[in-house]
Amino acid sequence: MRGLRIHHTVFVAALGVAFALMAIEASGFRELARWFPFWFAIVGAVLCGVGVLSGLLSIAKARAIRRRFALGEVVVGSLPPLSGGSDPVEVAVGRLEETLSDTANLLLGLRWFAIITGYVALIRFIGFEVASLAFILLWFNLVHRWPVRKQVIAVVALGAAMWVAQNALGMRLP
Amino acid sequence: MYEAFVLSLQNLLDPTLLLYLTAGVLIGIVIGIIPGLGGMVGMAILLPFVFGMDPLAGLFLLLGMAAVTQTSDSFPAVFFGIPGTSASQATVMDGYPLAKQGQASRALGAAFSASAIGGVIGALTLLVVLPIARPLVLALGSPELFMLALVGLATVSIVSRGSPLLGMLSGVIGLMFASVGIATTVIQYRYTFGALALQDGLSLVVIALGLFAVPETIQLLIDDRAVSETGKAEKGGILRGIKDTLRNKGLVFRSAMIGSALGMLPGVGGSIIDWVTWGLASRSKKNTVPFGEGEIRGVIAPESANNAKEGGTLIPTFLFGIPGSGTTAVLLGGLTLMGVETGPRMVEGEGLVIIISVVWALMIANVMATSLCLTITKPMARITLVKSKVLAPFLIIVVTLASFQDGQGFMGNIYLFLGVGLLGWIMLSLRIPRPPLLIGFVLGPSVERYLWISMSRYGTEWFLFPGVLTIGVILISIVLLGTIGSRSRTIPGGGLGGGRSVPGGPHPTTAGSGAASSDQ
Repeated sequence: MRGLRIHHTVFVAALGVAFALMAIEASGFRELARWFPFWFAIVGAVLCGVGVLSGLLSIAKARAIRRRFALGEVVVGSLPPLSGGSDPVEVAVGRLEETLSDTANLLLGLRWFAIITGYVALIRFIGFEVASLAFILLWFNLVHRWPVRKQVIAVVALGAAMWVAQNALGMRLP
Repeated sequence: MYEAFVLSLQNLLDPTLLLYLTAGVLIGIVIGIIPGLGGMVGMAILLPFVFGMDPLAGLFLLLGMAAVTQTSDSFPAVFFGIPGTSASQATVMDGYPLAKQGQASRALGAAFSASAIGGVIGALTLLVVLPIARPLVLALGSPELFMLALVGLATVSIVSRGSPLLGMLSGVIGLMFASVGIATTVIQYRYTFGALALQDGLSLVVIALGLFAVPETIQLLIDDRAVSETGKAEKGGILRGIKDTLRNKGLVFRSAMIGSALGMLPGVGGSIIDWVTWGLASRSKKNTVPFGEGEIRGVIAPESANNAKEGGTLIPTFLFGIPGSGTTAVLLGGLTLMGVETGPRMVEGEGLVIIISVVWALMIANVMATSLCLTITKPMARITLVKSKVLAPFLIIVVTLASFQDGQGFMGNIYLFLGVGLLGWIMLSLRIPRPPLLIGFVLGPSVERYLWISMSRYGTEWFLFPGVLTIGVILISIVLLGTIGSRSRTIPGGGLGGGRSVPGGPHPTTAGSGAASSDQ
């Protein structure tokens, strides 16, 4: 099953590892600086442990019901509905199409996130002004395929806005 | 008192002072609209200009600006789900879903009118409470302040919305983020790994932008649509929003009073006020739509409170010279530059004239800002009709620049913004509530500082202080309310997270925009 609960469980497990590492790091701090991050990291790690356990149980339960459903032992709607009227199979397993679309959504988002990361990398190497103008130009060229006239307007507008931000509002540019 | 009142009215008729106030209001509106720039940045920009200035003129300029950033910051919060300043974190929760439903004008109409009323109430509170505030503020020691910080943390149980485990986890992430940088109790750098950008701790602006701006922009790009899902702006929305505010005058008044009261408490009030009022309003039976899905009362409550807060934060500033927030800390510097001495003597003689003039200035600034914001709402609301793929690159540039503005302008801030953005995107995708993270982050330093002071000064005796016990009862009530509330909204067997939403609420496995609206 590529359900959301697996994503949750993996994420919470990774968080648990991070909390554990933070607790270990905190144990080396001076006494007065230690207790807050140390104990809260422990609390976080324990919560993650509970979360992972709950997630694994939930996944196992969902698989068992799905297996019974596949063997014909359970017919959707045949079991008494839980409070709220939801079907128990649906409650335990989730809707397959939607869990798949969640996965697709997550991955699609990561693709857009990579583009934002690329923009930040551009800033690092060629500076904010040039990187931003290049980013806008590339965006409207590749994503929108705007005509050159529109692209020029967008670039000029951005250039003017950056000038105002820096000179009138006193904002610092990276 | 009467004489001071007349003198302050005379001050108001001075066109020069009104000009400074208007200039401050205009600057404040621009600063509020731009994400990442808050009242503190505005103060820092204006501070060099007030040196040697007439104290009242300088105060009108600074307060005109500071009083209205919390008003205009509703624009980015409602249009894009990006908090313009830390004061509009909770406005995002219901304002953005309303914009998605094509009701951006209504949300802004309600936000601005609630802000104006809240601001006026806050200013009047300053006037009424100042003479009697001294014993009240002094009655609160570090144990009580620690308990109040815990009350703030308890709102996590309310904003977790049916996912108590995930909500608590999110809150703990926030607390751990708060422990980055130099420790509050001793000189020790924690989790900085030698990075300069981390030494002063993580910035609230960077965290808020990363947590909300990046995920919402990505979601807009995936959905490939304008912010308004209906594709058209609602007609008469502004008026409808104003009527909503007037219909909920009890909520406006209550939230404003809470905002003023919490604003008085240095180190605890500030950024938590809007979450507390949002959380409390979410428990009301008057709500017609679940909070977080576009309930107008979810916009009215925090907006009323965050403008009222300004009056409250000025009480410890004027009375003790203790800044109630970052903005008032810079204001205090400005007062020194202008030769104004703060302290108990501010409530008599010349000081009283200044305070009453400030009250007038706050009221006028709020009304002025609201009128201006309402005037530009209609044309600006059209931005919600622009396709996401046209809007997104500009948004990305603006929020990246905004994240760079905080602190000493390290490139590291942008990397942090990116990292938190990734975390925010994963949390949005997995429907892990994000507000608890912000609440934990904001309150972490107060929890650590006040608990440490309480333990080292009183040992365990403070557990039985009357103030501590009283706040403890409030704390337990909030936790119980949150727990009972989430149980009533969930059904058993939901696996990780403690349950699933009941039908009628947002379906928990609905990807995309629904997730954005329900799980922030």
